[in-house]
Amino acid sequence: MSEKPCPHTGFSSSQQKQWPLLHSQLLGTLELEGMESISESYLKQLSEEISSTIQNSAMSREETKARERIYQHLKHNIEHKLAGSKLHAFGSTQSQTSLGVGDLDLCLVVNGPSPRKILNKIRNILTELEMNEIEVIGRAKVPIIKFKEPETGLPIDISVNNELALYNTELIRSYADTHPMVRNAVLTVKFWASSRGINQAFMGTLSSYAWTLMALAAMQLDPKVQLPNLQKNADKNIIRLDDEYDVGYNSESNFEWNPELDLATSFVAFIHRFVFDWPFEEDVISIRNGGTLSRKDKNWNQGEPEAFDLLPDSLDRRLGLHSMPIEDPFSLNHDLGRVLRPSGYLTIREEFLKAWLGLLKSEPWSELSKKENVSVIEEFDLFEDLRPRAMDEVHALHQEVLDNLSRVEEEGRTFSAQRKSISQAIQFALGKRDTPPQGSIGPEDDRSEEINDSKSQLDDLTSQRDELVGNIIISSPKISETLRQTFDRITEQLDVMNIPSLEREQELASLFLELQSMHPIGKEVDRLNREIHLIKKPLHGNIKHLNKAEKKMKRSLRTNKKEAKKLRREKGRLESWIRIKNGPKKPRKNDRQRGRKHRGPKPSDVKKKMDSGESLSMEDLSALLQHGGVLNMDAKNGNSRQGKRKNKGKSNSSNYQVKRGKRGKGKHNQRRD
Amino acid sequence: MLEVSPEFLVRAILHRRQRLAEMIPKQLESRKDEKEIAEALARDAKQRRDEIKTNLDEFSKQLKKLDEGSPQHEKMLVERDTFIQEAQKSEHEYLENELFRRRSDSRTKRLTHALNDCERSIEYWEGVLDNGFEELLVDATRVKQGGPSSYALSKGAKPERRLKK
Repeated sequence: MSEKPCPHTGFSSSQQKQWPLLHSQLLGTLELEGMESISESYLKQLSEEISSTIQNSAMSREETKARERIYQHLKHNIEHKLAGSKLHAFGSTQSQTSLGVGDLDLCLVVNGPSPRKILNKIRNILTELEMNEIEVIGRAKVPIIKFKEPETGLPIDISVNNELALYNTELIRSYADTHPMVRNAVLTVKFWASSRGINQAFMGTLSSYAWTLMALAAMQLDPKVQLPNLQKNADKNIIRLDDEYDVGYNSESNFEWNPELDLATSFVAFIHRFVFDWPFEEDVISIRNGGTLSRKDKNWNQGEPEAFDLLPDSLDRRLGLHSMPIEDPFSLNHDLGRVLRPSGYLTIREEFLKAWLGLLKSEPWSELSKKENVSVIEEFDLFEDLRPRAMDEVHALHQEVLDNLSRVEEEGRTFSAQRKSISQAIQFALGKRDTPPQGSIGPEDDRSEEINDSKSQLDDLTSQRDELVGNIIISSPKISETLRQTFDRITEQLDVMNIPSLEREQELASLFLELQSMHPIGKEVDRLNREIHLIKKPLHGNIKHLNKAEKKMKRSLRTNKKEAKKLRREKGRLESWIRIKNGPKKPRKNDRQRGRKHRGPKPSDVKKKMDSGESLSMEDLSALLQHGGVLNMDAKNGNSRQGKRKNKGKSNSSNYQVKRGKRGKGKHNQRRD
Repeated sequence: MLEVSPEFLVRAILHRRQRLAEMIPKQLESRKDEKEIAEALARDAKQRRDEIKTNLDEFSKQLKKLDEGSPQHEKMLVERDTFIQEAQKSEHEYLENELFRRRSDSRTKRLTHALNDCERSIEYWEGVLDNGFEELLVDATRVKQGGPSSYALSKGAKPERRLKK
C-alpha cells in the first residue's frame, strides 16, 4: 500500500488522525500553555471530582471480603496438597493501590520440581476445586496459571516462586502508607491511565505497576512534594532467588504531605512533567534513585529502532530496547518499559498531550478520564490511496502489478530450478546421488562441469582402489611389517626343544612369498589414495562454494517469495477495489444453465420419453435420480427449497470489509487487567 | 625383504634344519644317558619306598595287638613315629626321582621327534630345491594374477561383494 506520509514527521494520514496532537507537536504547530494558565478554582473543583472518583472506585467491603475468602480457600487447599508450599497474595490489592478492578495475583512459593511441573499439579488441584477457564502459561518468563473463580467470576493468576513480586508489593505498600495523599495520587494516575486504555501491557502500553512507579517517581522529583526515597540509606537485605537481590528499604519515614497540594495539583504536576520534560531522553525512571537515574549511569542506552523511526509502515516491528525505561526497584535489570510496542509508545505520548490540553481547557475529571477504548492498533483504510484515483489509473496499476507478478513468479521458478540443481550437484559431489544434475545451475555451471569431471575421475580411482584393497585387505605398512616378522620367524635361531613343524615352515614360507606379491599392490593403493586426495581437495572447495551458492539462492528465493506475496496481496487489493467500483455482479446470460450441475438430458425430456413408453438410457435414469425420482420431478422444477437453502449461505460478492487490524488484537483476545 | 628369492628362502630354511639335525643327535645321546640314570634312581627309590611301607604296615599290625597304655605300647608308638618319618622321606625321594625320570623321558622323546622332523624337513626342502617352488608360490601367484590374498579369503571378503557395496 503506498500512502504518502508526512515529509516532516513520517506519519501517514491515518496515523495523523490517530495521534494528531503528537504529530502537531513534532511539526512544532502545537502551542502548549504552561501551568500558570490553569486556574485555582478549576483545580479546586477538579480535586473534589478526583477525590469523589477515587472513593467511588475503591473496593467495597463485600468485594474485599470475597477476595479474602477466595484467597483463604485457595491457600488452604493448595498448601494442604502441595507439602511445604506457601501461597501469598501480592499486587495492587495488597499494596492498597487497587482501583477495585482487576485480577487477584497470587504467588506460590515452593521448593522442588520445575515451575511447569508445579503448575500442572496446581491445575489438577484447581480442576478438583471446579475452577473455570484454567490455563497454564508455562513458557512465560514467570510461569503462571490463570483461571476464574466460578461464583464471582474473579480472574486469578497464580505464579510460582515469583518472590520478588512479594517484596515489590511490600515496597509499594510502604510508599502508599507514607501518607494517604500519596496513595490517592497514585490511584489518580492509575485511574486516568486505566480510563484512557494505556495500562494494558499485553496491548503494548505500560502495566499498572509501571504507572505506579512513574507516579511515585514524579512525586519524588516534584520539589513541592519531595516524596522520600525509601530505599536510600536502607540496611541491605540480600535475598537469593534466581540471582541476588537487595530488597532492603526503610518502612517508616517522617514524610509530611504539603497541605497546599491536593490531588488535582499532584495530577497536573504529573502530566506537566511528562509533557514538558519527557524524562526518557536522558534518564531512566528509578524510584530506587529518587525519581530518575541517567541512562549513562544505568547503561541503558536507547536501542534501535525508536518508535518514530518505524513510521509510517513498520509499527508492527519491535521497539528498540529501553525506549521508555522504567527500572524495577529490586530487579535492577528489569525494564518495565520493555513491553511497549511502537503504537503503544505513541499513544501514551498522545494521551499526555491530550490530558494537558484538557487541563488547559478546564475540562472536568469525567472528561479527562473519559472511558475511551483508545486503540493502540492502527486501523488502515485499505483503499485510501486508491480512492482519489481514476479507474483507468487503477486498471493501469493493476496491469503493472500483474506484469510484475508474472516476472517475479517466473524469476522464482528459475531460482527454484537453479537451487534444486545446485542441491543435486552437491549431492552428486558428495556421492549421495548417482547422476549429475540435468538442469543449469546458473553462474555456477563451470563449477558443475569441474565437479562432474573430478567426480568421474574420483569414482574411477575409488573403484580401482577398492578393488585392490578388497584383494589384499591389509595396508602397505602392515604388509612390510608382516613381511619382516615372517622372515625373522623363518630364520631365527631355534631352541632344539622348540622346533616348528614342517607344515608351519611351509605356511610361513608361502606367506612370505605371498606378502612379497602383495607389497606392490599395497604401494599402488597408496598411490591411488594420494591421487584421490589430490582430486578431493578441489572438489571439497567446489562443494563449499556450491553450498554458499545454494544459501545465496535460498536467500534470493525468500526475497522473491516475499515480493511475490506482496504483489499478490496488492493484486488482490486492486481487484477488490475494481470489483467494488464496478458494483455488484450482474447475472450472466447463461447463469442458470451454468449453475445446473447435471449436464445430461433434461428431466422434462425424460418424462416425455417415459410417457411415450420409450426405453430409457442410463443417462436418462441418472437424470431422474439427480432430480429425486419420478415423483419429485414436477415439484423440483428449478425452484426447489434445497436450491434456496444452498444460496442462502453465499455471501454477497460486494460485501467487502475495508478495515483491518492486527492479528490477535480483536476484542476476543483482550483481557481484563 | 623384497629381494629375497624363493630359493634363498628355502636354502635358509634348509640350512637351519641341517644345523639342527647336526646338533640334535649329540643332545639326544646325553639325554638318553640321563634317562637311564633317572630310571635307575626312580626304580631304586620305588623299591626303597615299597619296603619301608611294608615294614610300617607290619609294625602297625603288631602295635594293634598290644594293650594301649602298656610301656611296650608306648615305646612302639615312639618307634612308629620314626618309621612314619622315614616312610614320608622315601615317598618324597621316589616322587622326585620319578619326576626326573619322566622329564628325561619326555626330553628324549621330543629330541627323537625333532630329529625325525628335521630329517623329514630336510628331505622335503631338498626336494623343493630339486623340483621347483610351485607349491610354495600358489598364494603369491594368485595375488600376482589379481586374485584375493589369503587374508581376503580367510576374511571371506570377496572382492566382488565389496565392489557391489
